[in-house]
Amino acid sequence: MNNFVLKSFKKYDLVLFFLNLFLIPLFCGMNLNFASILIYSHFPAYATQNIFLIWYYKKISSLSEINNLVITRYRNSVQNKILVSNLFCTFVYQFSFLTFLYLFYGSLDANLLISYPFIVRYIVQYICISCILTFFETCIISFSFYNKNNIYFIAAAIAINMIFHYVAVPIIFPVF
Amino acid sequence: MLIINNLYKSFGPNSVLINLNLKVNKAELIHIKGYNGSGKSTLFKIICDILEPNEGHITFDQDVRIGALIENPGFLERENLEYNLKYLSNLINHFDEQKVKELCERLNLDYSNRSALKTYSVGMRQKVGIIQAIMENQNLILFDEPTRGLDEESVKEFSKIVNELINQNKSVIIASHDILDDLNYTKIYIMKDGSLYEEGV
Repeated sequence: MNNFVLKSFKKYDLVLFFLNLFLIPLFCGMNLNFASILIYSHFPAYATQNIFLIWYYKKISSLSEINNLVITRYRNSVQNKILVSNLFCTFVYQFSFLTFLYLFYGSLDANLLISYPFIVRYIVQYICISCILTFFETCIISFSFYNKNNIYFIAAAIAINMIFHYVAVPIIFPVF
Repeated sequence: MLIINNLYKSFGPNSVLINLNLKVNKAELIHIKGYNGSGKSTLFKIICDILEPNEGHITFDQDVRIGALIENPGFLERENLEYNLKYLSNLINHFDEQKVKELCERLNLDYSNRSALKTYSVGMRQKVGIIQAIMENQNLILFDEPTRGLDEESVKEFSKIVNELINQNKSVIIASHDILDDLNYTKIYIMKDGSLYEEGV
């Protein structure tokens, strides 16, 4: 893929990324269901996403060192390349995270679905909001391509993430 | 190849470029000299789309591919020479390893050196900067203080390379304090008060 961010990925980036996912069952155990660990046990989703954001920030920051050389080559299409990379990474992260949860914690229990039919709607809504938010956070982080070593961008992304998980989620998805 | 009309750039209250005009044709070697802070690097950054001008416009021929060495070039500091050049080259073009190896040899750089670029000296970094500006067959090449930190032998080799680029119908603009004796400049400009004034060659 002709994208300067994606081209900078190495094998060990992927290894780190999947190691990050394997931390979830290590910290949370296996006695939770998919919906609970996704929406209500804030820590796994919050921590995993923060690790992803920090990793993305480090990637973009190292590329900011060569921003003059990259811009000279791509000219005015550099912002499109960054947006594509943000979208791609958001998709890969969310897809891997959800697949991982599904594989480790299984699909929804039939009894749970009968007792709480709205849970499917909750999950779909949560995934949509989470995807949009992750994309928004990667966009904030990608400003560090133009401002070298600017820690405010990653701090803002993590703060938004925290507000979403600990303030917005309990309001949007009241505990059943 | 390149036409700049009425370019104006300011940083806050400081006007750096004022009503600047420049025309560069194919196979021309242009030299721009000027004091520190006169706006040479700013001009190059605007040509490369790194900075946006406040006013004025720049027109390129359709087939223009820009190569540039501007100020102290940054690299992927933890990576080695080969990785850096391969990464940059692969962004748009195919990596021509043979050509890059040849350029490294001419400028006395060890292509197979596995050391990270952060361990390189100023002169070595400058050589890497020169190579990345020409390795993809770019045809409009901008050099900002290209001989900074280079030893005498490398300066001579650099002059040879520039002459070869001109013979290949490419255009080169060099901004520096010193005029290199081995180069036959088409035009020499002095940058003063934000504008370019032509001097006799």
